Amino acid sequence: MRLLVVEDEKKLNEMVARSLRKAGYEVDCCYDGNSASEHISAEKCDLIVLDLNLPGTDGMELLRSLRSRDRNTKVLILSARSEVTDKVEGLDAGANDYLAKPFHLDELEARVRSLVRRNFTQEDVLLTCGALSFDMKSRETLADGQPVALTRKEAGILEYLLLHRGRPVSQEELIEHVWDGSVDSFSNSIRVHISSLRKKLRAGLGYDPVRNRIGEGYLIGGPEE
Amino acid sequence: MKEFSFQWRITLLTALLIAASCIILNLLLFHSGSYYLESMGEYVVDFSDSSFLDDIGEDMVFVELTQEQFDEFQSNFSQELNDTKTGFWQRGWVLTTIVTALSGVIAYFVSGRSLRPLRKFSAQAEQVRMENLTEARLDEDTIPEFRALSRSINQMLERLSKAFEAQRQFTGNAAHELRTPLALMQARLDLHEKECPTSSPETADTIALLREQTEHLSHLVKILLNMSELETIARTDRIELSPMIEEVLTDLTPLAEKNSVTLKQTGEALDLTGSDVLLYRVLFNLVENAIKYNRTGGSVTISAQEEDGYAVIRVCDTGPGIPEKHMENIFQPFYRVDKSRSRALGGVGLGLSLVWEIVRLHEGTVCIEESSEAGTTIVVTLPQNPQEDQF
Repeated sequence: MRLLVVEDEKKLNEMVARSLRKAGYEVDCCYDGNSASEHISAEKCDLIVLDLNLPGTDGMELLRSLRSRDRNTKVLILSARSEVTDKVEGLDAGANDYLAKPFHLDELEARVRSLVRRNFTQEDVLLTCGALSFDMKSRETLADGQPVALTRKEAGILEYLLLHRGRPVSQEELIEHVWDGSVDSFSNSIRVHISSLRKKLRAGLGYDPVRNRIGEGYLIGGPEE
Repeated sequence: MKEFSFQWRITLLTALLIAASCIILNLLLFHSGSYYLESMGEYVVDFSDSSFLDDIGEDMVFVELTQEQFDEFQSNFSQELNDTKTGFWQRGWVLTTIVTALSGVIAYFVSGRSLRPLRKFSAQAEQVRMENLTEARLDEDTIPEFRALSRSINQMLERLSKAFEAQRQFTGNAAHELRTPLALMQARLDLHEKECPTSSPETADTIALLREQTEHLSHLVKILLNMSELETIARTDRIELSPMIEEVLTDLTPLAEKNSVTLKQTGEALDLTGSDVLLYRVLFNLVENAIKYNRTGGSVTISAQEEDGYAVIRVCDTGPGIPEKHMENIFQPFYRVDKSRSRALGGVGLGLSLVWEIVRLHEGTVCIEESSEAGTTIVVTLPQNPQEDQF
């Protein structure tokens, strides 16, 4: 697994690289937009940790040119700019995830892990997180070994969150992937299902495994706050 | 005359002026009228002594009276003159009154009409609020007296909005500049912990303190940035309120259980237009505060109802209440009722001021409805369909 860290603040870049190497990834570093752009076209990498404020080619520009020819390389934006606009713009331009500075290295690692996790093989159908498990084939949920009865939509949400554990998933993303984009005009129609799912899991596990990060999304697993 | 409106002042002054001129005119007229009447009377009285019909011209009216008739005429004539004079006097006053009253009424309407630019002017000035400070300007195409005034008000507005903008930008920029060093500090601390897990207790202590404070700073910077960016967030989501409240309560159940506080939701289902994320933040912060500053075994009730196009949300807790002298200030940034306590609870002192800012952006209001030792009720009123077209 090969990662590229593009960040102009040298010390931060080194620390991020060091911690990712520790986690078992091969990491290359670039300190400005132009060298990053060269690096991307010369070598293949699986994931790019990208800062938006870069000398030379701007981060957003870099992302757009990458996306015009490559849809597979994952991109995680690391930004210190305006949170709201940058996030929306970045995700629209094809970034897979967004993390605002300052961040915890654990959090970054969890996000990276979530993004580069290999697609599950046919036999690997059991998703687990602590005492919670979900069988993708039989669509059964077990909490502490006891079955939990979920509706079809609740199970869909749980499956998606477990598949992307460690990374907050926004309501929009859930609607797109679990609902096939077909919901009414209310911004929060998915809310009822999430609340009910969380109550059921809480009843089974004794705690709520789903966390809601306001403005970011729902999260299972990942480092504790 | 302080309490009279401008229009009434003009009316009263006009009426007074007209009344005064009428009275003077009346007195002068009466004076000269009675003089002429009297001289006519004297003439008749004088004439009765001299020889009758001496020199009457050809075109004069000739009245022939017998001596008896003439005597009667003579005796009645002065009486008649007196009556005429009295009539003249009285009618003069009646006319004066009528003319004054009439002109007063006319003055009222005319002044109302000519004061229209002033009314328009003040209506425009009333439109200026915190929310539209950047766009709101008074119409400079008005009557000359107001042109200079609206120009200077506009200039003042511009300066004011620039000052506000500068302050907001400064907060945003400062918070922004703090992010990279903070990211560096945080990454360094994280890395240190991973690479040197076995350090001496003193070092571990120092690291723990640094971590805690960096965390605190990061949190603060994040909220400051959020606050400086509020205006750029679209407020066009259709929101169902009760699922939102339910989710807030779901989010806060662990905290409530830790503090032994029970959460309740009541009220009717209703929807409104606004920013989903921001309004969620409002409810979250209010309920979180209500849990944190509650007593053990207390409760928090959040209710929502519709009142003439407004969503009215009440958050009631059973905490110790907010002392009256703090009530006005609790929505101010960094204001704390009990400094040591809220720091111990992990707050940065911006939760309620963020609530206030968001509610203001949604053209709503937030205030403490009541607060006593039995608990506090905070009420948020939001228009269900704000008028302004946003984005």
